[in-house]
Amino acid sequence: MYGLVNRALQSLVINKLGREGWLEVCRTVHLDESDFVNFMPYPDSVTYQIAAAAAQKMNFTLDQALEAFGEHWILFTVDEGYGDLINICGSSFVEFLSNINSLHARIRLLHPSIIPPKITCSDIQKDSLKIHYFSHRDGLAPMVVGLVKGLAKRFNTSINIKLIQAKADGHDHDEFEVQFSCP
Amino acid sequence: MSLILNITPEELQKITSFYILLDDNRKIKFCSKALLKLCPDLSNKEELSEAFSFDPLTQNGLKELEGNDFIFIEHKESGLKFRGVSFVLSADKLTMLALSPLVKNIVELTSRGFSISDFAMHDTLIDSLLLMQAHENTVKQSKTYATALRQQLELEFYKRAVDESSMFVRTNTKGVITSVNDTFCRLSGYPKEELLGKTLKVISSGKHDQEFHRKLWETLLAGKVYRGEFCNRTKNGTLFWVDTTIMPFADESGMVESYAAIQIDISEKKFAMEQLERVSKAKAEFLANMSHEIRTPMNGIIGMMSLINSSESLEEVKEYGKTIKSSCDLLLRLVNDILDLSKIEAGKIAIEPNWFDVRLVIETLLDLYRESAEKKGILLSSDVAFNVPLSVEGDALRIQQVLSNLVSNAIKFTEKGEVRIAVHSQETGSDSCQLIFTVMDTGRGMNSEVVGKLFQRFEQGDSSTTKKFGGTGLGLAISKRLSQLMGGDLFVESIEGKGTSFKCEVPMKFENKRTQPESQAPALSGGVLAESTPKNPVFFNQRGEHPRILIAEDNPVNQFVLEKMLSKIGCESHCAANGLEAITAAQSFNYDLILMDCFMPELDGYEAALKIKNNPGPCQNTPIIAVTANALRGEAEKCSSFGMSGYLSKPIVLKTLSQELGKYFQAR
Repeated sequence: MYGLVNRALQSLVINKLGREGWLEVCRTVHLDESDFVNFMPYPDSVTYQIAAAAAQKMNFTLDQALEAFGEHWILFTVDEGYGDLINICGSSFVEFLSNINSLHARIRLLHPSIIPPKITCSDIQKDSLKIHYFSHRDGLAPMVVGLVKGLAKRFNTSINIKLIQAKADGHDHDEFEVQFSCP
Repeated sequence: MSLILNITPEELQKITSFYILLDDNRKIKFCSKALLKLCPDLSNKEELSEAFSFDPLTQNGLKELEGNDFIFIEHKESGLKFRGVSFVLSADKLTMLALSPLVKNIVELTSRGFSISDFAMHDTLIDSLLLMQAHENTVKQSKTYATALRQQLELEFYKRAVDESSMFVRTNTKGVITSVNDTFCRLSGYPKEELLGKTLKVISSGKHDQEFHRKLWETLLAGKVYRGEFCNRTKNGTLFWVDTTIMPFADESGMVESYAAIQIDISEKKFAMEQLERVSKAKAEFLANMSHEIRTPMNGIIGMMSLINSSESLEEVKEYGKTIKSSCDLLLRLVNDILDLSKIEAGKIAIEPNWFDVRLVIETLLDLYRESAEKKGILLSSDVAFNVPLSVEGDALRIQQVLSNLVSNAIKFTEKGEVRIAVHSQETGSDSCQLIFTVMDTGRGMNSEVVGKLFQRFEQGDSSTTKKFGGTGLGLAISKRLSQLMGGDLFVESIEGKGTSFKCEVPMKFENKRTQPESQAPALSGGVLAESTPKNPVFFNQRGEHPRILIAEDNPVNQFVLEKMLSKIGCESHCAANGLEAITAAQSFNYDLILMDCFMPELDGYEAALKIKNNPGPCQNTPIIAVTANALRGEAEKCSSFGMSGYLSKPIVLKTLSQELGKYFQAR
């Protein structure tokens, strides 16, 4: 994964446990460096190890940690100077979700080695929609829940999200049902 | 090949986002949805020039539309600039002006209400802007990293500098250690894992009182930096001193969250200071004792002298004379002790080995001390092991000096029981051995604190001892150093109330043959102990006359003493009060011998002797004997180099004067 993802994890851990906590996580996973370069690719295993160690330190289950990370990701990218990117993706919760796939496609043009997930929306109603999450990576459904929650916060939208179809159950993708009410 | 693309303007929007279609007459026929979002006024404009002005460089205006060059136009209403290129769509007889808004960043688009869905899927403008954004962020991150790296390098530099010289420790507010550097571990003797999580009490020496800690915490709790000197204890119990600066660190809310201390090891300086203070104190005590020790016999001498002056009885005078003699002996011993110690310290004592019989040395000691032991009712005995060689090579004079000091001390501090001198030998080679002299007593003994200070320079085991028992208190320091100078050492074991045992170990060479040693046990110097009183000789010169001797001496008392002594051994004498007078006297009279004091006013004895020897005159060949108070090594050689035949060390006693004169005159 790109360093940006690891940095988001780092930022989450520092928020929750402080700098010492982050260094402890690094020591636990025997990480030589405690910082990452945004657009440098790192092995996926690094991200998973950090996530597992951080979850343990924060007394979270891995699913809780992934959801927290997903939610933090939106805030982090804004802090990191990618707020405009979110803005260009749409001015509302629904518009953003509808355009996110397009954003991923464009990012892939800039960074060919990124393999972003495919996120599409269906059954878009005035207060509900369905999100379809296709990824070559497994077990990241809780992160999508967090991402959607973070996004909703970004657009001042209150939501309820639930996984209605899981890749873990043999489906080809995860499907979420989202109830929302816009401001 | 010609290919007619039957494509609607709406479909064209999926290929390119911003474009205008112009008809044959250059009238605006269609504007793309995205362009209309940027330039809504285009919906009611017919002429391109109504909505746009042309870039000054595009002077030919619409004419350029016929070519394939880029044109640059500015939207009059919004001021937004576009880069354009035109294509003639021949099938439809239309001209297509494809445009790209010149925007610097995504914000320019979002501020105009654009979202990613407004762009044709294949429009690379948004990609370029994303790239620029990513580039900008990367530059920003690089700068952040470069700054962090520079700070880290600086920190590393300071850390290394600190590590080289200082200890570093960080604690939380409860004093629990959270971080230490290698120097801290090295100096405290604790590995890092044994320190982390423990409080600083782990290295506390317990030497600081409550007031010290109160001030420390008062300063820190006030958020101030504390500076002070701490005495700490290493893991193995050794004390060490550190000059410490403790800084409190506050969190964002201003609450102190941790303390960091930088400490510099000042143990050497501190211990040196303590040692200096101790030595200064000891020196002051020593001088006070010396003063006492000098005044005591001086008082005896002066008191007795006044009694002699008023006495008419010869018996009384003789009695007073004995007291004066013992007071003088005491003074002399004091001076000799001080002189010995300073000579040892100055490296001016040479060990002079000769062959001697150890048994004789022990017998001499027994003879010397038997009387004083008997007076106290103490048994004085000796035990020389059978394996002690008959003849050994060593400095008998110094060994006797050491043993004499030990035996006299033993007798002094023993009230009842025994003082025993034992010797045994440990062979260390075919012709070498270690002689071990032991002086044991059943005296009062000493505690460990007293024993610890026993051999220290300027220190006495117990300063009250001096007052009670007298003595300079330097004897053991001298004995220890003399033993070491001889290649051995002096040790002590003592049990308070039971007695003390001193062990002097000295390496020696020995002869396998049972030969008689070249020299016998030397007599003790200085007349401290039982000076023998043989009958005085009476000297005559070669002519059979009483020798005539010139005394060159500036001190009238010494003149008087020498005159009287010379008179006792049949010599006539004449005095000169300085070097010049001595030369004059030597030129006017043929003396049989000259006694020359080395330090005199006007001209010293060395120069005077040289002049007498170098200038023709009646005394040019007369032997000159130096009389000197300088008993340091090399003095004999110095005197010889000034033409003098021998030297006598002050204070001069009759016996040594007679021995020296015996070399030049006949005794009857």
